[in-house]
Amino acid sequence: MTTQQPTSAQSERCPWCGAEVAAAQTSCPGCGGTLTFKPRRDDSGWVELPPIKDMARLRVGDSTCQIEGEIVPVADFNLAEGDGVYFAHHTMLWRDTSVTVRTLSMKGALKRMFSGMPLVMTEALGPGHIAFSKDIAGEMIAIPLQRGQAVHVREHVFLAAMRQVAYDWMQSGVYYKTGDARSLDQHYPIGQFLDEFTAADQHGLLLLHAGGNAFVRELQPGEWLLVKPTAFLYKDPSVRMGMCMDNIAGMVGYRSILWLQLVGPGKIGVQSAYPPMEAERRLITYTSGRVCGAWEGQRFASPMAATSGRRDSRARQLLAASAAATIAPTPVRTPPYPRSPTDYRIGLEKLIAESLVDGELPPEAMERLAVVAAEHGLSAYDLRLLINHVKMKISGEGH
Amino acid sequence: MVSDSGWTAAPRIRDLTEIHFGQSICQVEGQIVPVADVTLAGGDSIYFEHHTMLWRDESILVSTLPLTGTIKRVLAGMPFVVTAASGAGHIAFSRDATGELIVLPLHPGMEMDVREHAFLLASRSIQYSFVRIKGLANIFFGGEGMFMDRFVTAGQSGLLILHGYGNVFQRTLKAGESILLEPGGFLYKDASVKMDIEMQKLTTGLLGGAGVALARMTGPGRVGIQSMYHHHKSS
Repeated sequence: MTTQQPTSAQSERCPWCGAEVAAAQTSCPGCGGTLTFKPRRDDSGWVELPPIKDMARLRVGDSTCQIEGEIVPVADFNLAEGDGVYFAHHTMLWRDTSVTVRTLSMKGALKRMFSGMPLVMTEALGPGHIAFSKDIAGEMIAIPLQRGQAVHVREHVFLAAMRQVAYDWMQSGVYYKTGDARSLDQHYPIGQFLDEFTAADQHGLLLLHAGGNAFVRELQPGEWLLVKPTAFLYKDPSVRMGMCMDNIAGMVGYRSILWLQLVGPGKIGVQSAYPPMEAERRLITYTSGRVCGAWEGQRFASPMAATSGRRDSRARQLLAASAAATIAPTPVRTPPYPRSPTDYRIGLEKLIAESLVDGELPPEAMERLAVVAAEHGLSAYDLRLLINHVKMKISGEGH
Repeated sequence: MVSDSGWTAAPRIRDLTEIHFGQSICQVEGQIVPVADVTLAGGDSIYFEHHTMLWRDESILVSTLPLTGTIKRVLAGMPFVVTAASGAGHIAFSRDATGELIVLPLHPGMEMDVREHAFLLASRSIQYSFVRIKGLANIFFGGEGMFMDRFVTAGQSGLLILHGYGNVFQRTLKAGESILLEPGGFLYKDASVKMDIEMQKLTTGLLGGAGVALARMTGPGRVGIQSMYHHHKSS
């Protein structure tokens, strides 16, 4: 089954997906994009997806898909006999009684169940009509997959795909942890799993639903970009992913901002309406790491960063933020809460404060502090937290 | 515009379009979350769910619509108070999500069932009641709640305005024709359309799978759906 191609000599190519279209057509039968829409690249390199006109028809083999509506678009498939489409069962809006519905077997169902992914992938077989939509205002993205082409999609973005597109899933490998050593919570800002769709032997149609507007761009080899993790939509398999973290100093402390690092080559897509990440408000103690480190290395160079590896990135970020800030050293303020004079941490805090040079700890001072901390039974992790605490107090951002 | 499968997209109401009913005018403002801004003439009256009122003039008189069976409504989570407003003056309504306003002029002798909490306002010439959805499957798995609003026109025509989440589509079913619908996508239907819930079990071997509830709508009559549906706990 292949995408139907016009045979007229007067044909042109869709500027978006490259499919050959008849000159008289106003919408691409491959991706649904409006042919009168000329894709324009903005100053930063993003290209807005071409709008799919209301009632535009996509054609895959003998079946068609009509996109209806513009606020929360509906994908209305007219399946021919023998054709099929699969979907997460909760996205079905309506269907004819003539359409047969069955479940697709999926590997690793237990892991998916625990990670909150749909346990059931459902397949509908023609003939008849079946329609799908999601529950957020946004855009429909039609990706006509050519033979051998694959795409990685963030979970819960997928709407439906023709059955000639193979489905698989994989660990996203992107996560961070909050809390301290006694109670660590692991979070997956783009989900624990990525959906992988591959058109192995035949062309196929994949439909996604983006919240708000969708934008794509092509990353060159080695080029990388930081995007809000929950805004991420899809990528080519050649694009690698990692995590970076930034901090904003405020009146009462630091606020972490997590970034998804996407490294080319390949195409990436993002959506403009994305859910917040509540866990960002908590103390982030670990991230799964970045792909390449030019950005982070420049901004967060610190003696501790060189020795602690990826772990305790929160501590490194806080150190780096202190190093980057133009803060004049000020005397340590008296803690606002009562403490026992015998508390060894007071002495250690003073020692840390005295050892700071321009807001940073020299390596030799760090070694001396590590020895003192070990004598008091303090772990390296606790010491780093204490150092951060002191630095925040000095910068006036701590409580 | 009619799709290949027979659904008609609700007409997009242009910004600041005016709709006349009785001596009054309803102007639709905005296109993302549209507002129904009603200029009520003296003696004209409308009713609405009190939480949808966006603003009003001081000159508007507000009262409650006398209803029977309100205890059941309270127990079912429906609004206890349906509020009426009388002119002369301005009063405006909107809901809390992106969508479309559906203007349904009801002619004498029509009966229409509407998903609960979906109606924005109706003219007083339309009689208001509610019907209890029968069957435990409908109540617990249908996602509609326990009641549907029923609007009936006796001798006079009237104006009914609904708010649908996302895009709204309408299809007219022939007598005996059926479609299966995600219950959360249901918006309105003619009273002649029969609604039943069907459970479909999707099994995945040892782990059991999921149960999906679908509303079987059987004609004759019109069915309206919204594309941004309220999803219900189907399993």
